[in-house]
Amino acid sequence: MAGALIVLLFLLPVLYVVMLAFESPAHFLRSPLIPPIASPRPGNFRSAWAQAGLGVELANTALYSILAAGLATVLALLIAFPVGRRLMRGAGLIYSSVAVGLFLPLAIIPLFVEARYLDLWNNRIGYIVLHVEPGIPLGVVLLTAAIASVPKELDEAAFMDGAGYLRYLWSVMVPLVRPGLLITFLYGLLGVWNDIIGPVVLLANPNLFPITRGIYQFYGANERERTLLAAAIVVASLPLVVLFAATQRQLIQATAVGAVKA
Amino acid sequence: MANITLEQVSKVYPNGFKAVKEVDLDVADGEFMVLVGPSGCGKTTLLRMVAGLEDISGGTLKIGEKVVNDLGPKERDIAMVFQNYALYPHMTVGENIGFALKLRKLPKAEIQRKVKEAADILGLTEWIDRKPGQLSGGQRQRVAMGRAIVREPSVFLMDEPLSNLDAKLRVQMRAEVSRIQRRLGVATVYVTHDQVEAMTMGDRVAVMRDGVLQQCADPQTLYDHPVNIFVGAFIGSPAMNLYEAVLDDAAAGLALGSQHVTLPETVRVARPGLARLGGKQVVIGLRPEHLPAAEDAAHANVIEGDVELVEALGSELLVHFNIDATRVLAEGATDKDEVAMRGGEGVARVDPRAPVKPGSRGRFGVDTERMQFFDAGSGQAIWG
Repeated sequence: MAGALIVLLFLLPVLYVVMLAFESPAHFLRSPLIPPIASPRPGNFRSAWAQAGLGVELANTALYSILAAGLATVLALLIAFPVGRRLMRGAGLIYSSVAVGLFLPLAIIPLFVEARYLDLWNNRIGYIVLHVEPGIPLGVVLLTAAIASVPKELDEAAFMDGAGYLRYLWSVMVPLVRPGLLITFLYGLLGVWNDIIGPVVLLANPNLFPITRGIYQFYGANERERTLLAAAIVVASLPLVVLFAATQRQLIQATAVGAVKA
Repeated sequence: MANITLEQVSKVYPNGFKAVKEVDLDVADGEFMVLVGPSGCGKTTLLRMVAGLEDISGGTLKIGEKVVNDLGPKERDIAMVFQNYALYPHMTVGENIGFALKLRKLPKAEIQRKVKEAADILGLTEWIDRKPGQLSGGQRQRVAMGRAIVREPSVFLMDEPLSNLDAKLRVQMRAEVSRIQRRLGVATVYVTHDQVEAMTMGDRVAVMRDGVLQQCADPQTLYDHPVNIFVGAFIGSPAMNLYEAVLDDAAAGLALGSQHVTLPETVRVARPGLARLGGKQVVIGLRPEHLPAAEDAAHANVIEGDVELVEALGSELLVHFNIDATRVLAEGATDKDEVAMRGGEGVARVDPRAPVKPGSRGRFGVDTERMQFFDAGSGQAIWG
């Protein structure tokens, strides 16, 4: 019962946005809380798509998110393996300094300055590079635990079988910690996909804008177009909803961190 | 195929702990060498040094004629079976066995052929598409063997490969591992803490204690002529009965508590060193089967003890008795429950028809020819 209430509490705003996306501006102004069952306006989506150039922005978002989250996942694995296996001195120190990153706020002004200096401002590569880091800490924490639960003898058996370091990671470790990799990737993806401050601070060229920046256009000057804003929000979040629904089972597995059956 | 030579091989950990101390060992091509000892004696460390999984702190390790001290496991041409099998859980039996071949970039058809061949030898053909999680312990053990043999290495290393199996399967796999090893004729180093495995499987057995190689010999020599108290007590089950005894001045007999045992001329000839210890304390060792029940008094030497417990095994009786001599314990050599033995307890292995009853006074013949003598101070066997 309490669960249902909590779900409702979180679901209502979402449902409200979906409802708004189908309302005409007139209906919205007249009776914003009544579902537009008599006259739904699927045309809102087309208008929003065209008006804000959502197509290009959605492609930008997908590109930034997938590449940044993918890189973060690979790097997290490359950090987590030697840390989890204590292959070097100071593994514990590396682990704690990365894990601290989970709790630090993003220093946006220094990041902006840094981006200007390093020529990472207002270009695709820079935007991706600057979005890799936020995905790493959680990945390192999750993957270190997952890797620690894989018997060390597997490493040794593989080295005796003739596997090199990267080959071992790819052929043995990656399949065994796949749930951990998936959650690292999805978490990173979510962060880049939903970032709204990043595009405002780090990008100026509209051709480079991700979809969150596009949605932002419906604020301010076109303030009355709340229904188009809602439609754009639905477009922006639908891919994520589908992605999470599709990987739900593996995500549940990942929460049982390091559940490797030998 | 190759032999393995260890010369003064040592392992010192960064914290200064010496796990293996100047071990000299030679494993001939095709030989089955068993390393045995109580836990923590350095046997696994020694094996891992041969494997290349641990650095060698000192000495020389040769495989064939090549010094391999600084080669990685990959370049040593060895295969290892791990205690927990270390199978790749996400690969099928076939993929597990073929992984090393795949890494060598052999053609697919050849990998398949070799994997099938190995699976046939091990009786795994019908499980070839299963994952390790779907197999029983014995089958997993066989997959681990398959992964080792498919590579046709010059040396096999096995680290307690049977210890995760139940007792019945262990006996069965013991024979099977031996059979496969003889068939392939590859030099094998096998680590175990189980002296029965060591005795039944090894061509030769190397007994280790505290990082030091105590004795390396074929199982019968080890049993009949242990070099010190530790080896005597470690090999054999039930363990050797070890007592303090005092030789008489001419070393023609000894006092075992309040009882006297006469030593025949043959014993004194075989062990001239005894003469020098006349009147001194020594440690004697008597295996349970060298203490037959002596109701007919046909034995020249008889000791008497209070029978405390009789274990009937069908083929024999294990008689636990007590005499008034002091029992000697070789530290680390015996199981914990045996350490709990007090005073002059001992075990005799007697004929099942012998009329021995708990609470009675038992008479046991002493096979003085097979009696072992050890120096009371150093624990070394007394011979010359």
